[in-house]
Amino acid sequence: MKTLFNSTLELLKENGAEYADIRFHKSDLTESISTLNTDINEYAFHDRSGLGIRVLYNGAWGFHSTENHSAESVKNCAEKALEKAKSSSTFMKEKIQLAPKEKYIETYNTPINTDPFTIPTKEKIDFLIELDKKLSHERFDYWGVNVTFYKREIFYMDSEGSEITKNLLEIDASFFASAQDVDQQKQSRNFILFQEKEGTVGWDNLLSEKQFLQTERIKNELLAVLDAPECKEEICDVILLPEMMALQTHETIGHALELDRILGYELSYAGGSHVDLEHFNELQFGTSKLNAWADGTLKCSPGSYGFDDDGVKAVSVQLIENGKLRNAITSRQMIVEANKKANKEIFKASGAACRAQSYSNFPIERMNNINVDFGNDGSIEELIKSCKNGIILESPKSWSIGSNRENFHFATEIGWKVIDGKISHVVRNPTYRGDSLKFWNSLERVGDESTWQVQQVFNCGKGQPNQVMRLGHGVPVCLFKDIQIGN
Amino acid sequence: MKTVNQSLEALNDFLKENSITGTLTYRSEISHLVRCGRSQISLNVSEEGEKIFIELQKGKKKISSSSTFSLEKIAEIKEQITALYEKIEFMPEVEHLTPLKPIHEGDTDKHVADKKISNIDSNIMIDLFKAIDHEFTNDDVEISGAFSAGEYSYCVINSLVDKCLSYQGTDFNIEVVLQLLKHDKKELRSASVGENLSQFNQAEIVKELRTLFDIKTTTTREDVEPGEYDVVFSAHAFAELTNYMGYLTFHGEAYQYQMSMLNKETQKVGSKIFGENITIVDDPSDSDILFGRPVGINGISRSIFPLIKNGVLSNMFYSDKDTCDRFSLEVNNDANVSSIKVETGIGPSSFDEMIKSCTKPTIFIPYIHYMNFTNPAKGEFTGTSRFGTFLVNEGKIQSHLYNVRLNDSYMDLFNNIEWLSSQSAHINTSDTYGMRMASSITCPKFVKINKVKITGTSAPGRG
Repeated sequence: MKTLFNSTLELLKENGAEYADIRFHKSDLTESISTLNTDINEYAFHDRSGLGIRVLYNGAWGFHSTENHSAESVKNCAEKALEKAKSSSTFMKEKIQLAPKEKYIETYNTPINTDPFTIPTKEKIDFLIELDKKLSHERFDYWGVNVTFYKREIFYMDSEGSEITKNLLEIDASFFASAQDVDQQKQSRNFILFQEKEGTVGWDNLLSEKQFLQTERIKNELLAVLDAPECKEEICDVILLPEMMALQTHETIGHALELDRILGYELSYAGGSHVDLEHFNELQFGTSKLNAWADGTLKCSPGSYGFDDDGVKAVSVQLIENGKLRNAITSRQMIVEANKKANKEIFKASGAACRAQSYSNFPIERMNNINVDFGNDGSIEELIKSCKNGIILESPKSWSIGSNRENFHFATEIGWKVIDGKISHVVRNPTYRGDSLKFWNSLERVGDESTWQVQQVFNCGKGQPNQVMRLGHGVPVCLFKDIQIGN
Repeated sequence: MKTVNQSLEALNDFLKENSITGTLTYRSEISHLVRCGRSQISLNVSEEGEKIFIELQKGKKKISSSSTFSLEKIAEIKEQITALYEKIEFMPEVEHLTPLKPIHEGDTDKHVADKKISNIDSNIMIDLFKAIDHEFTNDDVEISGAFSAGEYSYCVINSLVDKCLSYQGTDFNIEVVLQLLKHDKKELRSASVGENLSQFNQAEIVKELRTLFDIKTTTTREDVEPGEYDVVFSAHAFAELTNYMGYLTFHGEAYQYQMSMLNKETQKVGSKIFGENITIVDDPSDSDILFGRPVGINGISRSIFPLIKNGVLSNMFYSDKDTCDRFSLEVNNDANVSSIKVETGIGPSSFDEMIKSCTKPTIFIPYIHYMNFTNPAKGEFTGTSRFGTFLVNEGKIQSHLYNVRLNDSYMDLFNNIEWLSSQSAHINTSDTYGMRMASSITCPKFVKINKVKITGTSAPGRG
């Protein structure tokens, strides 16, 4: 295929393309197993393969994809992509330019101990059924385990000489239990597999009591929710545990700082951003305790992929430094455009965050690992101790965010009321809301390293056609002052 | 489709020859999308894909897989089937699983694909944005939007029948947003959907944008206090409310698992759940809807299916065999290909008439952004208005509000409808996740609902 791709790129250049790349998913495997009430609910194996060709002609993009790997089909695919770029170039006010990058001929492999695809199917199913059994309880109506293994071999080649092979593996695993509460309303507790700072990605994660085998905790929490009082409406301190911190970071830092969104490319669909180009190095996004990164180099996360789909090597970019807005989630195209629009150099290099869901999609700015640094305000216990009147919140139940990411309203599965530094009781149906900037500027305490973990996200949607992206959030437990809850 | 049908039937014969019980489903798409951002073309993409989904059953055991499909891969697919059938031995038995039933047999194949859409020239799509740019050359606006068009098909067969059921259709959907750079970055939007290219009306889109632009540039920004308001929802906003309400009301699977907003003990088919002025139906033979598909992807034959009749719950969709087996029910439809219609009323149907009819303070919401359930069991949701929220009073638009946040329940909203327009509109409801599958809701152009709860606004400091 390499020879075929090389000649295709040459042909595109001969026909006037300024730049072109080919992304070939040689194999793209998904194995899903789910259980429900101790039965196997689904076992499915999906196998796909295909390639996408992106062409820049006269400052405009064209893209076409195909699942047919024949030489004729690849040539046809390239011609269609070029034809589209030519059409696009008839309505361009500013020609697209790509920021410089280095040429790479490299391979990136996700670090794994045990490849789940090497574990016999029966062993995997037996393990998950046993885990499922542990979730049952006489008060629960449904419970189950969902695990999906993803394995991709991707070959990337571009007209600037890069040849990159990526062997990526991810595990999306979760379990849940649900029951009717005292008012006959459905309540659920979900647990999603996270990563430890020094873990690996592989089957071994599912066997770890630290990471996945937390069925007793989840069961007890659900039982507590079922008979708990409703969360009352008030303004109080909010302590966000890692799953909620990940959502908060994702929706109000991550999406708000995608540079294509800031420039207005997502306006008709996902929305814009309250952040403008003049805000960089000026805006106090949060308190001085807030340090956030777009880190493509994190060891084990679905947001770590070695090289982005521009062929740029993964880097770690500080987005917010001591509360001050510094950088964005960027690609080669957008940094050139943003600097031009701002009439100054805000962005020095691509943050290697240009990614496509699959071979059939055009790559756009996507989060990699949007992380918040841990602080030195102690463990969870110490954070609780420091809280006079507050609530601890965990596990997203629903989320809705303003079109410019300027405000949000989140509901969570569980809350623990804190009074005078001690947990008083569990509450049902907790919600909280706020203005994004005001919220991050009420960040008062940031938990220490013991509270920091990498939450995996497998359902981030963006773009048209919509692309679902895999990524991560390394986050500590944090305390926010005077937040509206229960409304 | 004929060649695909023949290939699937040949694969089905292979199942029978090997005494394998199973279902084969083929899906394909050809999709084109032109996206505009910052008043120029930001994306011009197309994709082609064909997939085969294999579901096998052996006694109380089941297994499934999918892979890319092409006519040249038939031998390879047979090998996949054999390997999958060998693997089924490792699957535990599922106690509630019932034997596979034959899919519908009969002459229900319907192909409404407009080849002008399947092979659309991207210049037609680009020309729309050029025309908008030309119209607003001197108005300091930023144009963004997407024009998506394509063809999709599905074909299903199982080992208990000889012939496939199939459907092939096309659709386009367009959305254009203008951001008014000299007017506090106010936004306005025009959207349309259709199943053949003759329904695409470029001049109408440009005209609608001009009308909205003129309104937006002559109204001042204001803010409202949280509270209960009478609200007129546009067809777009009401279709969104209906779509989300439908997840919690019409899906029998959610009802059985007690994940719907209906209480299984007290609210059943036959219960009055909404106001008497609400009637909702899914009828694939209705010429007034888009995408009437007489067969489901699950192989069922579809016909008129009342959902709400004068506020009374008439039916729920049961599309999934596994859930039906679990609860000893029968598959009765396929919600994945439904095209529901909310019946019209006697309210005003033009924008001007609607504004004139609002003699008391009323909020007009054209679009709901990022709706989500806050408590599904109570049908509670949140979301914000977008693309021009107006305060209307004394028959006139009084001001252009900041986006407002709604926190209410579908139960309250669908019981507090004051009127529905006498004319309807088609609204696109397809998401673009996964393979192309057109979807729309037909609903009144405007719907007025009383006592809608507004809990915040996007005015600085009011989230």
